[in-house]
Amino acid sequence: MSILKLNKMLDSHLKNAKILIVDDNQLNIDLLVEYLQMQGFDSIQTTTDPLLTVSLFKSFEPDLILLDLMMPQLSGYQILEQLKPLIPNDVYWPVLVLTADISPTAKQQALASGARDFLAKPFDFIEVFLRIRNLLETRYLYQQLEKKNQILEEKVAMLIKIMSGWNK
Amino acid sequence: MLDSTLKNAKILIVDDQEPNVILLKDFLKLQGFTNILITTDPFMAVGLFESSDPDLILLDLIMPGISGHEVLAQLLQIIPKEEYLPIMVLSADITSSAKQRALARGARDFITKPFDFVEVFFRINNLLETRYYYQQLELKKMILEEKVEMVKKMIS
Repeated sequence: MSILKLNKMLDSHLKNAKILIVDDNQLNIDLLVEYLQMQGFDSIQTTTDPLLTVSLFKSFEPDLILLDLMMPQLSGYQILEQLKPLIPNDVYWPVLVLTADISPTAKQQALASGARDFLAKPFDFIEVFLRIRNLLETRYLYQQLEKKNQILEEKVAMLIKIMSGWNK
Repeated sequence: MLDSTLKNAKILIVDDQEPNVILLKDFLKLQGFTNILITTDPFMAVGLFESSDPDLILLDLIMPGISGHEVLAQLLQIIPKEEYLPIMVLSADITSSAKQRALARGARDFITKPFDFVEVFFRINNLLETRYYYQQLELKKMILEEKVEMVKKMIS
């Protein structure tokens, strides 16, 4: 498959991707949603209540989570800890953290907690686009790979069946 | 397993400023990357790319003689269209127009100078991981096609 074809498929896949935004600041959410909708994303859920994140994650099954780090009651770090047991180790399920604290320590802590990348506030929308596209692209490729693996297993099982039929 | 695959990835760094190159190389080595190629001569970029077949290219944008934008255009001409070969640009120019220009030309991502090494680590890992999945997918497609052929043959 050519990368051009893939890019087109990616494009339509990306636009169908489900994105969950968790940020206690409604203004930030509005800004992000408006921008993402402008880019063609139409499957977005948001919450300003960090306590709802885990249940939203379970019910919405987003492809990507945009997670604010500094929130009252429950920090982004704590949410990352809560999400960990829900996401199997070998599954590619990206979390992109949003933070005004761009100190290396803050970034490092987010990385160590399982975040895939981060966006600095205030947002630079070229970066917003890039980070989201790149993470969704990887998730898409990961999912395609899983699908292919499954088909491959089925085909091999079929082969074995046919061959064992011959041996009888 | 993915981690060790990533650490074996071949990374080509093109930057005319030697201190930058050395800094990046040292950092990457410290992180466990073993296969790093460097040049401070932007005119060598294309030749090195062709001879070394890297998995990721880190490309400075502002260089004397030939700019990173030009090198980017040259590289994209010879990179097969069906391949996912990420180029990440390194730039001190953090204006939106500079970023947009590089991205419009085909760069996958960028890192601003002076380097924030957590960021460097994030970006490199993410791009290499995407390349890994892309290559695995291509491989699986090939194997799948072979198996389908085999099954077809056996049935007929």
